[in-house]
Amino acid sequence: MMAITRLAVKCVILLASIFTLVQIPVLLLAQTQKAKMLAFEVRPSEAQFHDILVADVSHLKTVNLTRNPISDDIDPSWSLDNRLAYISYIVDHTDVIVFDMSVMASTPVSYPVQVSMQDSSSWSPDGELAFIGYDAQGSFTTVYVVDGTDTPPIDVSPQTRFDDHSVVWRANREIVL
Amino acid sequence: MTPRESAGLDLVMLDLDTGLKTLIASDELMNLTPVASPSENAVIFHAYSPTVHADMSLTIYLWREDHPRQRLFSIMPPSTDFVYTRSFVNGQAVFSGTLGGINDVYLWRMSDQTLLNISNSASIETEAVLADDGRVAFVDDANSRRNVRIYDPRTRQITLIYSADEIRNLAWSH
Repeated sequence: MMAITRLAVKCVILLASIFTLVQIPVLLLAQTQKAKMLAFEVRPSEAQFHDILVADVSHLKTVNLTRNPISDDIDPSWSLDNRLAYISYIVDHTDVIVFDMSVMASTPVSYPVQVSMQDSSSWSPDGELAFIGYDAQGSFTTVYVVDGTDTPPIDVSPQTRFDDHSVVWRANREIVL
Repeated sequence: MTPRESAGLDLVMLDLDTGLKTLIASDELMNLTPVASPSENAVIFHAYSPTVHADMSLTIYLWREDHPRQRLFSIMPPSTDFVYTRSFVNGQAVFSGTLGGINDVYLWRMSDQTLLNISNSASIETEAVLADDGRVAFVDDANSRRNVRIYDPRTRQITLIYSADEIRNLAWSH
């Protein structure tokens, strides 16, 4: 079941990437001109789930990063080097996805952790990402950190539960909840 | 903190080298939603204070390490009913909510503690977020639609960016 879910996540990301490719000139223009971008989650009236939109506010252009009907994409968060993390719920699994503006590609970074749907991801100044996810037994939420490589998330608050907390980095190595 | 014990809604600091410590206990203040500002070495948050304000009004506080004896103080009048604290950047913070019965977006400056109403409209603003260049993005619900608008402090103009039935969780790039 886990393998099927993992495959479904990759397929949805691939599909969204194809849609995003068409709109890449908008993002490239913003990237090359170091334009300020604003990300937000949107749900149109006819849609069941949210998408993540990115607006180049200087040129008043918007791009839908996650255009697909079966994933609920919420809680965008920018790193200092302008990678965009968001939380994506699909089928029966919730992941943190990172869209890298420098290569215009999305990568799931939280596997195998089941991520909490509470608005709960935050970047450190040096590019680590903290999020709230469920422990291995799925019984309570704890804080995980990923460093942006293929290394699995690390539980940095073992045996302490953080239900209903939001997570923010105050500085490198310091998280406030 | 004992294993498996809930942290409740305490405001806590998780130091990845030394572990967990409580900054403010939930029996002192309730409903904490922290926003950190590494540049200010501070954390801003809003909370209900059952011990300080009998009417349980929502107040915004600042926690700083360089105030060891008085780490906590209100930066808003007790009667203020702010509903959303999202950003604290370069000594400024934005809030959306109700002040004196009027719902708007407010920009608060730490240096002289001034508060500026930047939306000044009849619509209901639900959230606001501050960029590191001073621009403020916020959402209102004018004309039965949610609208993303941007306030530019250099021109003091507000620009409509996007409209949809539901919009939330704004985030500025750096």
